[in-house]
Amino acid sequence: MNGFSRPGSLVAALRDLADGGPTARPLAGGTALMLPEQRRALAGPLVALIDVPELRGLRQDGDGGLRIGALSTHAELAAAPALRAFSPALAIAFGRIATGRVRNQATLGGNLALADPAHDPPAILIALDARALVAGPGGRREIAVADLACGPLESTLAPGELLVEVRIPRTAGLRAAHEKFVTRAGAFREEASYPTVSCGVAVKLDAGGRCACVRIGLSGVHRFPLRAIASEVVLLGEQPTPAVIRAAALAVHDTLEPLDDERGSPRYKREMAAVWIERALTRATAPTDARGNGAGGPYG
Amino acid sequence: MAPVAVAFDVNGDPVQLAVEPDELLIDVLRARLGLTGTKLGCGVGACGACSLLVDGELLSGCLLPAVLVDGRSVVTIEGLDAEAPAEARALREAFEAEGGYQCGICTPGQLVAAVSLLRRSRRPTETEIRTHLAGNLCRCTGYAGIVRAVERAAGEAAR
Repeated sequence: MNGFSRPGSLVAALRDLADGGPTARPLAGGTALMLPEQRRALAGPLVALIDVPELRGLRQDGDGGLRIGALSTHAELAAAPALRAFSPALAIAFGRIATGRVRNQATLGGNLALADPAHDPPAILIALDARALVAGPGGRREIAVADLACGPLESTLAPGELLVEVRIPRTAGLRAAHEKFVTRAGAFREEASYPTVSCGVAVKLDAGGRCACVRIGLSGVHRFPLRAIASEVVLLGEQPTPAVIRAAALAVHDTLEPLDDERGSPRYKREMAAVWIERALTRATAPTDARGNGAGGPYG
Repeated sequence: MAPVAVAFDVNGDPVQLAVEPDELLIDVLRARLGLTGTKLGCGVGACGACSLLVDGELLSGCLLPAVLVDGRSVVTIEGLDAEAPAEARALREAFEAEGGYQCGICTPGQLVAAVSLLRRSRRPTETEIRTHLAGNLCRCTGYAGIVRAVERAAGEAAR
């Protein structure tokens, strides 16, 4: 590998990536790029993003939505009051990824750009209808987080493109939940390990108690994180009774191509995906109390 | 290929070096600065033997390229006494008293991680201790002694 730069602006970062050619790699927290296998594969210059101010920050936009800078670390997001107020489910999800050290170093943008099939953030972000703002040589574009990955460790970002921020819209009355199922636990705590199933759901009920809007995000059970549209369509326009929720969860089966690894066989992962979709939907649609909080509460 | 000039503090001392762009901080510390108290275990950020404080934040030396600590302040196990005298002493004595170590390979990382906890929370609960140390693996003793040691040290340091 050769070359290193530490640009001080987004424009300079994009230029350094373009100048570096197809083997140039952006360096955010480094937790993925410095893994032995990935580090050995580095062939071109590293462009460190640490000084790019456009990639920082966490703020609400004019419509009450949330904008999260790509360089935000998992630890920052888990602890940010604005994010917790916006979506407790999202804050909880960021707080139980890997270990504290990794959460201090790994960034949201790096996580999504990596397109790991078994990372938690895409599952809950897909459910919350998050979109990524991407900047590249050809200008800027917005892309749904659900469309960022297309294979194991294969993202749809083009060479030279950078993920700038993640935008989550505010939808009044939306209720979200995130479930993480771990079969191969670390030393102390299940949450610290890679999920066998990571499932985010977000549901909005109409005045008649029917699902007016539903999104389900899954990680761990397919070649890449995906939106479970087959389950969503079963719920749309229906009351989320236990039978409907069960039918929706089972509808995911044939749409999944799980990887065969230490966290389970494809058959097992398909079955567990349905189990955890069912549990997440049940939690998100549980009756609300007098203060308007359900088991999951607003946004989780 | 040109190495990159970096300048940072290690345990309070300024260091200037030329490093490769992908050179890991753990290798700089151990092989070039002779600070071998920080151990290399798994090399993938899972075991915690290489735990370090960078600007007070707990990080893995095995996943951190040295170019990213330019201008920052690194504390290793060797500098823990100067960095946090009360906590470091209380932890050392408590680990000994409670049998919080056996072969010792994980101990520097356990101590660095424990200091970062005691700075954030003076009297952590057992759950907080277990959660905070979740990424620091011990393959000899199990964790009961380690958790007891951190509880005991918190009590001592809080006096």
